[in-house]
Amino acid sequence: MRNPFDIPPIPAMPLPGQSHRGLDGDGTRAPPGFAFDAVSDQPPAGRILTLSFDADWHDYFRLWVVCQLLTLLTLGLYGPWARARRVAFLARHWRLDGHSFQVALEPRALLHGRLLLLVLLVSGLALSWVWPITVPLLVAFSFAALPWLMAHSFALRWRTLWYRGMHFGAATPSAPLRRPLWQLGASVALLALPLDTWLRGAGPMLGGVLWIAALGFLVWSWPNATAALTHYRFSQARWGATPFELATGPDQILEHMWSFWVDKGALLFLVLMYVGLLAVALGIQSRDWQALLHAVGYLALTVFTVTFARGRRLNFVLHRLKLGGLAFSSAMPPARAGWLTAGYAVLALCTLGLSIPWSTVHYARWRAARVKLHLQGDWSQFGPGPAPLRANGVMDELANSFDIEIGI
Amino acid sequence: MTGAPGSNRLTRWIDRAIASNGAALTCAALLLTLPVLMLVYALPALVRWLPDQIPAQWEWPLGDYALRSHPLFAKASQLPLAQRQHLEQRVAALAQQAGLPSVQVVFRDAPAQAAALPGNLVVLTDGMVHQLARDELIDAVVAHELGHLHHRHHLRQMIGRELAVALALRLNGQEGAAVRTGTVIADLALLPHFSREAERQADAYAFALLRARGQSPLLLGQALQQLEAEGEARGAHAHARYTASHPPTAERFEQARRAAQE
Repeated sequence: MRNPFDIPPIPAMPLPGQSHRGLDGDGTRAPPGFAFDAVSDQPPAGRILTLSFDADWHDYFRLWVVCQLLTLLTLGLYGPWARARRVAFLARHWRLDGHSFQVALEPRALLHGRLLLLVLLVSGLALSWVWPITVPLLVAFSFAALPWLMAHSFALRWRTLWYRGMHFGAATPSAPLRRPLWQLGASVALLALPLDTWLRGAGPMLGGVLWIAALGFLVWSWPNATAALTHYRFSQARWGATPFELATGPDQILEHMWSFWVDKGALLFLVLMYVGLLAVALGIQSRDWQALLHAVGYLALTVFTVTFARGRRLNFVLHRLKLGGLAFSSAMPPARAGWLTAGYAVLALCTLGLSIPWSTVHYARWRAARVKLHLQGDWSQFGPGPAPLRANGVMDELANSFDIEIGI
Repeated sequence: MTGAPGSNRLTRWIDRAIASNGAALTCAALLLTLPVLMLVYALPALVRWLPDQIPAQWEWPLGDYALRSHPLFAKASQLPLAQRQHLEQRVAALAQQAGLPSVQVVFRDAPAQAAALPGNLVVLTDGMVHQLARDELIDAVVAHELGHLHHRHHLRQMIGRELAVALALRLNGQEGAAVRTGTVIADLALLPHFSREAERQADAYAFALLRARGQSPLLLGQALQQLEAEGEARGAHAHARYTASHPPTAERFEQARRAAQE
């Protein structure tokens, strides 16, 4: 059965002595012909390793609820320690080939970073209240700093992760992220400008036309930034002395995204669904029910859409990712992931958040069952690398508490 | 946690709590009740206290910006100059009596509306002036807007919104999709509630001010009924209870009637 959420197959590699000519026929890409949960045309070789998540949701619930309460009672001050405990618990229940992962977050650094971020946010908010015209400048300034923050944030996430006694790590060049994130920042800043007010005298339509142009710029720059971030997340990382190798570039990731959302009309379908929801809501007399329908629909649609897009992107990237003799494959159905996550969000709404531990464990188990690792050779091919260096202390602390996911 | 014996004792205590089913259930019960208590007591207290620490002059640019950027206030008023001057004098007298001498009234050509903006700005629309016609009814509406200025409702609602969203986010653990859940809860349920409370406060202020001038509080009720009728004739939406930014007009009229009898 043709897979509607197609993942382009990995290009066939020539055997020693064989040329590339003839492998791909007339040069066009072969149509995807594998079902979603099957391996690609060139399945990774090697021993299949078992990835599992074996946490009991009762255990996680106890930890989560105690940490939540302490965080609430301390007005957030205990938050970094709560996060360190949660992440450490979840990491040690992820098992690969019988060994668990470890995470070593630094709560004090997290706290310093959060306080610093809070001061910056409150200052920015106060400034935007007193001088609303500064909002576009604040947006532009925030996005100007974003490449460095994202680079350090990714590096810190890798650096605090361990497996089999060896830590992960990542380089932190911000150059690959500057152009896509600055373009995204420029589009958001343009939308924040009061064009309608400034250009009122120039004609009733000009402000609206420029606003639509700025929106188009955002629609173009957002996927670019997403693709760049996705590529960067894996391409700079390593385990011990072995770097990750990603056999695709940001442009291919972007093409993969657009091929579905535009070529297959998924974006149009999504817009029509949302417009349809609005139309139904407008037909309802009671404004209370209108608002409820609008809010739940928005929640379900955005949560579903973001998870769907991420799942699809992750599948694409994992199929092209290698770590020495270790290859990856992922068969996570993005639509099912989207519905699961949307269901979790609505359940969290109904239970005032108490269902979150159960849904976290449930989703982790579901994901673990659909990701495979394939090892050629044995673990002795991997060796320890140089100890990861801490960057500037303030940058570390900011990045520690900076956690942004950009995605369609 | 590292280092001090105190922190190790605390860590051990937390570890014991995490290992205990009873402690977990107690925490879950507290997680359900504490936020409610925070919303009912702590949040309103903070919203009352915090704005008083912020000088009023800091709010003024907000009002000026809203006046220049909101589409409702885009068109200049078509009212005759003499009528505007007459209404300005009445507003000035009201503000003087209310102890808000620096109030500025602004007229705009828009459907029946009145608004109070930071910086002691009262906006009256041509539609409202035509609909109410009588000076006493316009006085009643202006008294209500002066109530918003007196209580600094604009700033309080902004602060209340940020605190409510922060509390809702904290409840949902800031984990991915649950973040959106928190903001949905805040926008859908909490913010309209705060807005309705502010409107009730402004109504109460208007009743007191009208009584002090020897005018009946019932004037505000009558003005609100006329404005509601105009809105319905225009096709503006009604039928909202939990998401409405204002209390029902019937309730407000009843409050005005009771205030008139006191």
